[in-house]
Amino acid sequence: MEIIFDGIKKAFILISNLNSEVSDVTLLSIKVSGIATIVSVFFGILIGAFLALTNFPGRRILVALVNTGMGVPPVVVGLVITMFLWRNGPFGFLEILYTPWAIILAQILIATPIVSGITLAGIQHVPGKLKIQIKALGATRIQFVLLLLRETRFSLFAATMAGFGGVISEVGASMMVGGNIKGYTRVLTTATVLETSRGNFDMAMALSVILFCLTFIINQLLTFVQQRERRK
Amino acid sequence: MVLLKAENLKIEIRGKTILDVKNLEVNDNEVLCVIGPNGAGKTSLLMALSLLIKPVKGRLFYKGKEVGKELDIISFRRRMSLVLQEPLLLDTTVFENVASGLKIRGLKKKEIKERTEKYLDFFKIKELKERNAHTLSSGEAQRVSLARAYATEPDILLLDEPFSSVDTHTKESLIQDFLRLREIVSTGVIFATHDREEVLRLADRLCVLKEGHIVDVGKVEEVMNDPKDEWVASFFGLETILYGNIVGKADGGYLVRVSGKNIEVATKEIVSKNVLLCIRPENVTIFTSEPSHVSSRNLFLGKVVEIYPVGYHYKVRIDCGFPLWAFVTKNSLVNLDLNRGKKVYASFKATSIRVIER
Repeated sequence: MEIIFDGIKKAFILISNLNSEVSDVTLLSIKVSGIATIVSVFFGILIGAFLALTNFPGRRILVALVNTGMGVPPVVVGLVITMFLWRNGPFGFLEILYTPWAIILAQILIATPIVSGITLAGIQHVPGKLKIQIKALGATRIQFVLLLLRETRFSLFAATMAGFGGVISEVGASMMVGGNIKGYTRVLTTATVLETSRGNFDMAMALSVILFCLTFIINQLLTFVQQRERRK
Repeated sequence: MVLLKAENLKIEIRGKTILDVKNLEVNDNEVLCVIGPNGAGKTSLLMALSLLIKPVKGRLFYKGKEVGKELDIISFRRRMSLVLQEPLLLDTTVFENVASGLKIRGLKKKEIKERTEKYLDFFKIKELKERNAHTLSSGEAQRVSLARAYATEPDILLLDEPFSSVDTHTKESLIQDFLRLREIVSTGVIFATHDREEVLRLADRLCVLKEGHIVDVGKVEEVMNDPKDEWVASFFGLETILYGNIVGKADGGYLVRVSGKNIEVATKEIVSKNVLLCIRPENVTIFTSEPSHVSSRNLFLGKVVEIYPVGYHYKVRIDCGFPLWAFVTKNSLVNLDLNRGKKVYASFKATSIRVIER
């Protein structure tokens, strides 16, 4: 048991001293996953709304693809991105493998299906008659979509939360496409894996506590906004 | 003026014809009630007339302009409003809901506020304006839905059984609001309903739908007193229904002018000038010669137009200048020697008439 208590104690010392290694890793994690989430929310909502409101041959296949995408293991995404960005791969000329941009790209691929899937479900959940009523109010196509998105804002909050939760906690893809380079592509999850394998439990514990607090705070924030909306 | 005209409008869902309307006109400032059994296509008709369901064929004219060609669909829809049976409100405040149509039309902020306040006030929901629309009772919600529809001051109002999801008390007050608004704003109203009382009180013209087809359309009294099929006959019951105007006071009631004849009715105080008289056929007595002594206040000379059996009785339609239905037994039919074209006297008591104010 001593190893655990000792770890916790040292972890809090590391955090309270604002250890530069810990804070660098944390900031990079927030930056990378934050950018990935913002981009995913944008494309995810677009794709989700498009699939929910249109009807064309092949739509069902795309919906199935989105739903599958919601559960794709990050390591698979990591593998695909690595192959595409490999020196002589199709996008090798970009030279972004083992940079934070590669992690962002992988995380976008992980989060976009999650956001699309939840958006799609949310919009489809709106009663058909309400959609008719919105059209009957004289809405143009764009006004119609915007009003519908406002109606489904709780789902969109949920989609954002799920998207961010998915990428901040993901380790496989970040490891594979980022390379866990110290001070450059090392994020909270990859650092935790490394420190644990080295037996540096205090460091690993400190990183885990931060990771946990981060997800907790972000989710709490979104929940707060959501519940305030609900009370109105 | 003809506001809206539909020609050969046809709607199909998965290859099955839901609605097939050869010709229908809606005039300015009239209430056209659409009635019909469940599944007759009442809602589909409203959806088709606003192009909310795309017809597989047919043309729609708004003030003479063909919709989709001379007038774009969005502009066309912005001249109308829709109220459905369930009040489908947006998940926001009551104020925002009533203002939503105006915002969509891109009105100036000041105008949106003024108009929204006006109709919040009119429908007596001003104190609810900050409330979330999803927390309202069904009656309140339907008021919001109506206020939202009226706020855009449409030329055509489409109402799909708007009073059927609320309790009787709310319904009466909503009908009163509707009637008050009829006097202020000139709107063509298409009103789908299955409530006989609503038809009698609100309709100017009537359109009967059956299996997606219009089986009859015309003035209410024409459709009612000469039912084209069994469903219409049973919808209105067996009563004679007459439209009339109050022309004076009579002993214990009023004198009502119907098609140039005066009918005496005994009733409580009436405020409105326009009334509907409902006379049950069993309350009408037929004489073959002028009776020397009748206690009934109303005696009219008429001609037998139609006779047909209804259960144990015969139903006789008499033209007294206005149509009148009477019941006779088989014996009476023989004794009175009733046949088509025969001149008869018909009488009914002033107290046997039910009066509905309009």
